[in-house]
Amino acid sequence: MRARGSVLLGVASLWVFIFVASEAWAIPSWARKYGTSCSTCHVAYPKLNYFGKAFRNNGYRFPEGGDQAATKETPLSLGAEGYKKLFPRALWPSDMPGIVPLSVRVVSRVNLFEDEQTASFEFPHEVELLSGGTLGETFSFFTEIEIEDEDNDLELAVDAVIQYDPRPWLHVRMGTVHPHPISDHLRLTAAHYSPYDTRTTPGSLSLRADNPNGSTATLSISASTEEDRWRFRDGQAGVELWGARNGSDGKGGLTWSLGLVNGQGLVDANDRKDFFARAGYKFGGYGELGGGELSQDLEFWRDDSLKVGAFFYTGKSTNTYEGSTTALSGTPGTGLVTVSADALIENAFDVVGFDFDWWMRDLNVFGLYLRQSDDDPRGSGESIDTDAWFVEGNYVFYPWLIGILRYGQTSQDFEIRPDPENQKFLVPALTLMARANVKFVIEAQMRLDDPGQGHDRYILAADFGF
Amino acid sequence: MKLILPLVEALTILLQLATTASSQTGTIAGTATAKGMRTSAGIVVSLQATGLTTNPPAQAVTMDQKEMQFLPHVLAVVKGTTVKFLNSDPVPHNVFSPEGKYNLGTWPTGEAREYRFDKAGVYTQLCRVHPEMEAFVVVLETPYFATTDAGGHFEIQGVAPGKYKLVAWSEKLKSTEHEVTVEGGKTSNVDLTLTR
Repeated sequence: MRARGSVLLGVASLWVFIFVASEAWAIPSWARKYGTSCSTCHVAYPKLNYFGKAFRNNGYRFPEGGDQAATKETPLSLGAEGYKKLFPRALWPSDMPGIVPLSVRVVSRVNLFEDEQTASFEFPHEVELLSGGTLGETFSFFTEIEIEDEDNDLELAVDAVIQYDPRPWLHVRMGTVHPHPISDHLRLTAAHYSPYDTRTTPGSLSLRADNPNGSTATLSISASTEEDRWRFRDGQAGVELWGARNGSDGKGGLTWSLGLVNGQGLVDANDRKDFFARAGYKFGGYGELGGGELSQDLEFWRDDSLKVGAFFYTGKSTNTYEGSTTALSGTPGTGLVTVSADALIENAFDVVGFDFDWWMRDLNVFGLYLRQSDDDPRGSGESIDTDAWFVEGNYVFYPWLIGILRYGQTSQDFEIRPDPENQKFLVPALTLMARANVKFVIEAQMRLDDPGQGHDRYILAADFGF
Repeated sequence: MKLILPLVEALTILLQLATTASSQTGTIAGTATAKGMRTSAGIVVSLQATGLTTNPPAQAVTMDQKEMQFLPHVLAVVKGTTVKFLNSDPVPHNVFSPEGKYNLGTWPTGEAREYRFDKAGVYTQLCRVHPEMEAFVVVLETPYFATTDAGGHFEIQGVAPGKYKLVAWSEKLKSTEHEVTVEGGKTSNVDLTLTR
């Protein structure tokens, strides 16, 4: 889902689009605000530990009403408490960060491509300017400006969210929201979760147009779409209601989410809003809002628990394909003419699935299965059903060394055409935390299916934030 | 007989004077400077000698966890002292020590855990929930010790006269040792500088 406008920035083109979830990231500003280490909230950034999840679920606040006591940076008062008594004849009192909570994250990569037999230094791959915090007792915010290299083009991603937090079990988020259940932006690898990457609408189509000179009956015109093609992974402009509750005895608990989003673009590509719903329940472990069973181990990431969830998304994608070609004019001697063609594809689709997240001491296994049913993604009247899943294991050998192994499959069932071969993804990786805010990742992105053979990619990433 | 009585009285007075002098205690005071550090607070100055006896307090000595810090940052105690670790923060805290090889677990606001230090040494206190938190329990085999204030000042009162080894310990600087003599009824001044 990208709303693109092109602007030249030096020698590189700059693309503007919505990107990134409004979920808790590794934001050093929060470490500064509370005077605490990154690992208070992260197993290894950006992957959250149980306390980080409770912090997010409390609206970016310390659990159990402890935010004020835990805050080290003095906020700037925007009104004394007494003004509450004057309301509505006075503004409701609030505060804001005393210092602009600005953070920077830089990711650099060495990329080795098997098919191109090349190694490239992508220094940097991306630079992120992050900010997040609270605005008084019941508002919070998250913003990000990201500049990322995409094949020597610089892409600018902007994300801004304001959230109303009247209760921990009810938050109202407006801005960029993430419909998918396991946050793609909290992963430890460069590789995205493969089930989120399926785009059933094509990037280009071959259209037919009358040939003006009649040498052939029709011309074949390659047409492409300017609209972003929907995929589950992308952040979307929308409104989300969500919340969390602790379970019995303060352990685990419920998380839920309902959202209404554009589906495509900042200006909606069609007249229908997409809708999503999610719910999950965590059995055992630390409470979703904090409290409950505390691990007595020194290993701060441990949170023996099982979380299961289900999710649903329904939407409509709309893409306009336009293209043109030149042909000899039908009037002899008048030279070349431009022949254009366009097509509109409207596709209704649903996504349904379930996810899980299991922690057993130093091992975390999580994954999801989804089924996406597209009504007519190619404008040919043909429906497509997509089944996709992944399972990932993370093992914390040491707090500074985490092994990662992910396997995923995506298969598609075409109504008329022969089905393509299943795509099989394998991602082994190793995360080395040199410091709480400096890490290195060694990663392989492998395809085990025949069409994907010979296209493996290997990455060495250096990542730091401050 | 007339001569003997004054002699006995004189000897008695002399004996009393001698006894008083030996029973009077002395004081060691001074300044310990932590060279290159922002503060000279938290330096533990102790007087060590063979045969000193220590009596641990009957009540536990407390170390709090408040506003994501251990308070005090340095706690000096005698061998056998029980330290009570509090949690005055609204978040869970933990206490463990790499040297002591103990993990007191993780507990919520208002609760406490205790640990008895039966062996002399320096015990780093860490919280596995909040890795930035750190404190030290310095366990001593002498009743004569003090911890410096922000200006590096220290004073050890009630010291039995004699020769001692004055040891100054800092969490980040090299420990220093000095020979000192404590005289009854007197205050001896000692200024120290601890360096890397």
